[in-house]
Amino acid sequence: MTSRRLLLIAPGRGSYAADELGFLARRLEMAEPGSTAARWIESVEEDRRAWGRVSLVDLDAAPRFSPAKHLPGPNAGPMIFLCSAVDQSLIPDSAGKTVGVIGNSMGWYTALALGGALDFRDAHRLVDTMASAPPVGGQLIVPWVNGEWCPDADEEARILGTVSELQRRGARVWVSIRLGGYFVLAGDESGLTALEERLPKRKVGRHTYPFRLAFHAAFHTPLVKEASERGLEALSDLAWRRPRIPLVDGQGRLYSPFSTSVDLLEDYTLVDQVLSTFDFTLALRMALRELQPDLLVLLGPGATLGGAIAQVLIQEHWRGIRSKSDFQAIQGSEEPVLLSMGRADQFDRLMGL
Amino acid sequence: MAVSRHHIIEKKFLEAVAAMEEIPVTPTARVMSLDRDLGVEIFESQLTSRVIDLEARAMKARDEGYYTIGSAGHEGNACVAAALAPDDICFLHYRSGAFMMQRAKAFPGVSQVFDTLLSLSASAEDPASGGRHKVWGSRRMNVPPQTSTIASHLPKAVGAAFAIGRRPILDLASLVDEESSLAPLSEGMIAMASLGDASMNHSTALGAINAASWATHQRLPMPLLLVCEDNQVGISVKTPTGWIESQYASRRNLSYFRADGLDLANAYTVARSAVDFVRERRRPALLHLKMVRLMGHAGSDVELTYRTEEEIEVVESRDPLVQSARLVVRSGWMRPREILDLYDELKARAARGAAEARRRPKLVTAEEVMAPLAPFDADAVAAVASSAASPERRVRLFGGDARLPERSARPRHMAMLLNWGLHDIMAQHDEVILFGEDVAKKGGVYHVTHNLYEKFGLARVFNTLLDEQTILGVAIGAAHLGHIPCPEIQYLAYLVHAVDQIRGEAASLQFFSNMAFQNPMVVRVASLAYQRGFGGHFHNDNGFGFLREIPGLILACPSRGDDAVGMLRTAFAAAKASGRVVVFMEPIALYMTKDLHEAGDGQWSFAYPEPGRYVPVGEPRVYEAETEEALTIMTYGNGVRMSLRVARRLAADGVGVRVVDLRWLLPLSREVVLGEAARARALLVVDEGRETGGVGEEILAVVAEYGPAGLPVARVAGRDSFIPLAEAANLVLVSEEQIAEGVRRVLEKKR
Repeated sequence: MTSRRLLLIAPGRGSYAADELGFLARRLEMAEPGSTAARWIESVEEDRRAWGRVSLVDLDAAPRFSPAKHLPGPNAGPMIFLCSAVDQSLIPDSAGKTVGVIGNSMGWYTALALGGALDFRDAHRLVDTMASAPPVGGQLIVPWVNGEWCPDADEEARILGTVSELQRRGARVWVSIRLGGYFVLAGDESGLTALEERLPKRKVGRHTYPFRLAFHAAFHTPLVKEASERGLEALSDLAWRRPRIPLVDGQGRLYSPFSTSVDLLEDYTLVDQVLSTFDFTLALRMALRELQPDLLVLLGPGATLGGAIAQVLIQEHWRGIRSKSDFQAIQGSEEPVLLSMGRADQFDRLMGL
Repeated sequence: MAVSRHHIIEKKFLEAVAAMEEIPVTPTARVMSLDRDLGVEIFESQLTSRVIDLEARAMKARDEGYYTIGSAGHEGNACVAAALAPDDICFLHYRSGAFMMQRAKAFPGVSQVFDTLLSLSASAEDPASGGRHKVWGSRRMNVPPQTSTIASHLPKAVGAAFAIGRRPILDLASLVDEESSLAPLSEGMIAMASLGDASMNHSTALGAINAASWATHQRLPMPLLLVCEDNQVGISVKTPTGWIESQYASRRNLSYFRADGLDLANAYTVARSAVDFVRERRRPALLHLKMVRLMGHAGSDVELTYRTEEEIEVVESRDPLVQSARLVVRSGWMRPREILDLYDELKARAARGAAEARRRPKLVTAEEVMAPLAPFDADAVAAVASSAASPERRVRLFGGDARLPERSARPRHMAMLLNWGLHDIMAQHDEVILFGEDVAKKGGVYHVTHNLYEKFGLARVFNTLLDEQTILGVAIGAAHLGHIPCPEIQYLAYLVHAVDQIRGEAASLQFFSNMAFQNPMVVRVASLAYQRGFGGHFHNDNGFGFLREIPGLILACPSRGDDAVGMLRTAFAAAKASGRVVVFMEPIALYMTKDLHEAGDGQWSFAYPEPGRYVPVGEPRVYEAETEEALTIMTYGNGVRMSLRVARRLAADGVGVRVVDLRWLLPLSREVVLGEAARARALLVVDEGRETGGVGEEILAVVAEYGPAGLPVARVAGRDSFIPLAEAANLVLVSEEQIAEGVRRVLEKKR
């Protein structure tokens, strides 16, 4: 009963960027031979050889980050999946008990594996198949919170209003991901251009928003219908199981280890999840409220999802966190609420628990 | 000394599970009919509910929780939830924790466990009521919160079922006209309500069951499922053995289903049959589920004062959670160890959830508390009140341009003008339905609803049975389904026994649901005294104090026909645009009154207000004095005409009297009262109601507290008496002589 309760969060596309080069190598170094991490890396490499794909270990060891090599789906998707899984395998038992797993966007596939709904190889095949679908359309990201990461209802309404207005005029644009203080919007080229013209330009931190996510397709919209159909056809033999650990999907649905319908799980993963908005905000909110974790563990690679996570915590005013300052204060305290394994200092902290 | 049974119950459960053999027994046929995943899902809902019940008691012990009426023993109602569809509207009693846990599984993103903990801690963030009550309610899940406890939610469940059943006819009718403003309903939707065995004795339950049966007897669709969760006791009073069965097992217009609510498989199977029956046959059914009540009535209830320890132990030995666990283990669905681990996990979630819920904000100011009480979007109300049906529609309705009521050559009395006004309103707002006793072909006992049935048809204008509770219940239920109901109450005196449907149900819904639900309606009531037709108290009741203390109610009382139409338009606008409950008191004695001072002068007949003309809430009508004003009379209803007659006579003596017709009695506009008091030389309040509890009291209080110092004030009111027959009635009612006397009295004070 006193064991620390952990919620694992698996990131989605865009998490493996230039700073993450060498991630696998570093992790492999600290893993024992024959460890789960080593076995998983080998399993992925073996499957990729069979499918004629580039080695992820080689990509990870590249001297320079190349968007054309590192970012396209067939490489980026499986790379992120593998990195997240490896991180999970390294979490010490002393850190606590995992009470739930969620993911952002393709992180859902990772969650399926880590939660035990699919075995590792099946999950890899799922990731590879879905990430290799011919890319259609694109995504862009735009914030709706203010500088302190607090909700700005007017800005939120403005952005959603812009999307609705364009839809009314027949534009092919949608809300792709609800990502804490951001919207990821998606559509075809003319839709995205129309959005860029209408959305206000804002500089926040290093970025000027809205900006396009390179090599991203219009995930989680009807535009990628073909990906869903391919998935249904190619993946009909996946061995779905009830998860060992509770999962929460991108519609806020909680899957119990004891009574999950695997048909529902499969349907959601290959249809609804592909074609409709992924609500990461809702997934995290449900996980916080219904699973009551003590500590959130953001799996690598990278740690960019940390911002969105903090923004959801602020919207929930979880543990009294109402602003960026509050969040930073609690992170600097004895009992941080989030540890991102993609950040060296927080990785060490987690290992030391 | 209170012995906490809940620890004992928990211990017994855990011990029973630990002792269960792991070897599954071959499942019996009845269990095999239950899908494994569904069976376990229901079991998890039951476990979750029980854990929350225990946490609620722990919260109370820590002074963090405010409610301990639990659902323990009633976990079988999770099976009912599993059998229903997400779109079915559900009116639940208070032991519905397991029902809600199971229901939430059909709505991804609803955090029912945490929401319940917020509710238990009276948190301002509680989504059901914003901290105003511990209720089971959810807009998203189609569960209107029940503040009632006992059975006063049954009339509206009947009303909802009735409105659901009615919809196909309405949809057909609207195909002929324009697009319907009513949102489409799910195919096969039903209404459901649950209550206990003791509550089945309440008059509201019996009235509702009678109404449902009456409709069914006439083959009107009544897709209603009543669930009697029979735990054989009501607080400390046992229900006689076999009572429910004896009353309901063989009624002709209410089908009876019975199941062991402690047996998950049986309860689900029978619940499914009952739900399917109601859905397919559109006939009402009673599902009688045997339950037990564990942990007493509430945390404060010491069962040993009325039950022996042996009796308590027998009840506890039937714990449905133990029975469900046994089913789950024997079917090979879960191992005992897994159940115990899951139980621990659920407890950990509940304990931490309670701690997080405690930190969330509470209601801290009166303004916050009262914010959802009486919403009023003045602009939206004005927009609706000032609009009208299209000219084409009106011409068709009234049978030609020359026959439009505003073109009528001569002025008319109130009943005629109201009749035209109702025509216009029903033509403009197709969600309005009008019903009551004798309103259809007969056109109402005062002909106010004459011809509406012919013009708008049975779907929208219909008679009800003789029961005001049912009439109002139909109104409330229909409002839940998108209608703006216009129930007619034949006489004010008949409203009283049913007023809880307004006071405790309709008018309180916005408040207790924190605006998630609203209950718009315009209740028309033939009211007050002085009428020449039907004598006696019940046709001449002048007491409406019982309405005045209902928070959020709008109470309108026109004194003349054109005001009546203008105010009626506003009443419907307030209902439509701000979800308000309006009681529209129509003075019976003024329905047919045409003259003011002399017979035949026609001065109390008026022209029909042009479409779009309306009387804003709170606005009075002021009749200025013919000569310099010596005093102001503040009055309403019958008092207006009487005061004008007295004023005319006094004017002949050079005494100028200004008469202020308040028109809107709730909310009583302080601004108007004090504004008139400020410019008055003396003030006489003429209140045709009874002295005690009358509007006059409020006016005097406001003037005394905030009015100009030294203003001479007097009051004339009816006696605190019931109204006798014939001429004797005049002895206890306000008369013109008394008004004149009152004028003299207040002018005396001036000197």
